[in-house]
Amino acid sequence: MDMINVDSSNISAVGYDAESSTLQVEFNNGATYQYFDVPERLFEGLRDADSVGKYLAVNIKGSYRYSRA
Amino acid sequence: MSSKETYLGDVQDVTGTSVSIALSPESLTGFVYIDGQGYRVGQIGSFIRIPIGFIDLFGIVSQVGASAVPESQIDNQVYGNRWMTIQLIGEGPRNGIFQRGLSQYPTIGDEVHLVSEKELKNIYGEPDKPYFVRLGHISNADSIPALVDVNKLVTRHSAVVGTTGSGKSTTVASIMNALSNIEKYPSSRVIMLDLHGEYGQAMQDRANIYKIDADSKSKLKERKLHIPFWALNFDELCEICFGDFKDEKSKNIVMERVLKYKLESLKKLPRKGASADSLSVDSPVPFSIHQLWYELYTEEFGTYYKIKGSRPMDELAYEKDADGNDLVGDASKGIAPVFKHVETAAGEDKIHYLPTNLNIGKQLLLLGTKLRIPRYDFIFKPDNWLPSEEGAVTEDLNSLLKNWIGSNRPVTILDLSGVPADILQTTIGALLRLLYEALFWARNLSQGGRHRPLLIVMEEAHIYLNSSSEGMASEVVQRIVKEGRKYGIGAMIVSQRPSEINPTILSQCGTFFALRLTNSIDRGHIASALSDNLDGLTGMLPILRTGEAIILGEAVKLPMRTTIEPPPKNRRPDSQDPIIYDEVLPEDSINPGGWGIDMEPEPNYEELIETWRSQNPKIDKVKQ
Repeated sequence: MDMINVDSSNISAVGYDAESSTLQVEFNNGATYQYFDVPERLFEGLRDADSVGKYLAVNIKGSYRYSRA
Repeated sequence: MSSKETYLGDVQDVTGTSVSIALSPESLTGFVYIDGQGYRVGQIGSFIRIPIGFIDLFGIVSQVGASAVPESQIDNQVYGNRWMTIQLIGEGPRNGIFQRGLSQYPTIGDEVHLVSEKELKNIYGEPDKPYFVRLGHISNADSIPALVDVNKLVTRHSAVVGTTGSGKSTTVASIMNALSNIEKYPSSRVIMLDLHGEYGQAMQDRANIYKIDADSKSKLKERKLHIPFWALNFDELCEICFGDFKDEKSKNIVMERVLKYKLESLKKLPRKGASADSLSVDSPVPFSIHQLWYELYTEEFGTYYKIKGSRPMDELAYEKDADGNDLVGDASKGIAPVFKHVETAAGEDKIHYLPTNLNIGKQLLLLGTKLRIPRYDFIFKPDNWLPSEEGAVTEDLNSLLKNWIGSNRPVTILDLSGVPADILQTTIGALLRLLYEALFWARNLSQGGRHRPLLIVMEEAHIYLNSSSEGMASEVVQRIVKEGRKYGIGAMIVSQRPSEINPTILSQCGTFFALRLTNSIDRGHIASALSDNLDGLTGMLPILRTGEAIILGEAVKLPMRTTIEPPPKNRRPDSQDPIIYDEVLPEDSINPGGWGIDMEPEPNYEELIETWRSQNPKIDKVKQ
């Protein structure tokens, strides 16, 4: 999955696989998680958000299931 | 005395290595300044110095106050209970190098001095020597590095002990980081048994990671772990394949058969070093266990048509499938043949059991299952190390060992998190024995143990080095700690429960990294395994801070209370506790879960079961 670096205090990069609607988030400590069945617009929102950490906390955490990758 | 400001008191009583001191009225403040730095008098675990002529004796404060007063003196105390007990540990010429051990004792009236930071530096170390590694700094003296002698650390074995959460894994990672510094030690060689898969992430750029269900596409570049069954000795093989035998006789049948297979394999494909005369049932010669199993299975369960003039084995009575083919099974897949039932009724074709009576039916059924189950493939179907029917293998043991201990990276992590629990002990035992034997016999070669020593780090050692069980792992490790020193094989035992580790093993460890230990039984075991008479120090074990360790033993000159420097954040082991409620705000949190965040509206428990059934924490859906 292609990862896009983002500027955030806790997240280092995000990526998206359109075919399976999987969103990948890499945190600054190297831990990588994949959120499943996330609509593409949320990924775009996350990528372009002013505060990536906040966008993730509000829109994705708690709404989609995930697995550590 | 030139250094009056360091003066503490006088020696009053000497019993063996413990010395009682009456503090002088001049040092009553309890606080002294030396070179502008303040020191508190009488801290447990701090050092004192007793100058005797041209040498200084050094000791550690182990007791202060009322109970340190000798009994005869209790009645005539002018200044209250201002006494200290110290344990002598070593000596050194004035401004010279400190050495463990004493050549003389102090006598009554000798002056006792505080040890300043400058003097401590002199005691603790020669930081420039390349055989010392720095793991952190002395607690309470930030400028003094905590140095460990690599020579002694590896050959004299070591133990890292501490309660869960005391910073054990971080300490191990820190040691690994220091030892795998390629610039300093271009040929260092460390192998690590990682039971929970904690260290892959921490050591990713310095280690090769071998894992049973390896994910070759993952970032860590995991490779498959193989332990070919034919490399095991007979006891290990039996343990893994068959479990228990009812009696010696059936075990001997299997033994004779294994030897026969190995001999045939050797005849067809000679291997340098092995000969028919020297071959034993324990020799690492490839043979087909699938064929062996199939043959024994047939003999045990087979039935045959009784026909005059022909031998039973030529007239086996197979069941037929729907198309009329014999159900002969498939040895290589672990599929057993199906035989017809015994038939003795008049008029029918007579079917009898084969006249052989091995009496190992249960064991054979068990092995059959293991040959089929993918979880055991790392032993029974080890890819390139899987022997053909004749015993030919694509790759031999040399490439296996080269991958483990002869690769371009200093550290090899054997991630054993996928090994079935019932064979874990035996697997570890076999693995360690392979390494030991290889390095032992190769002791004259440049890649042998004497010339390129190996450090084996054993994580969670209490699981397989248990004192109550007579496991294979425990046996091999005992051999390593007793004899490994001579052949260049060092052990580092890591455990949170030292009291459960075989005491022989623990007592052979020359160096201890003791982190916080709260349980008194565990503490007792450590205290009794230590060579020094240092009650004061072991008394500190329950109050150490996280990441703080008392390092004592052969690899350090003096016992030292050390603040271990953790490796950089991305190099820390993955053993952090799960987060219940993150302390930082959700938008700054690097944890996607916990009790503080809503859970997804439709939790998926099918995937949860998927991981269990596949025995793999990664579900299919996870993209690479």
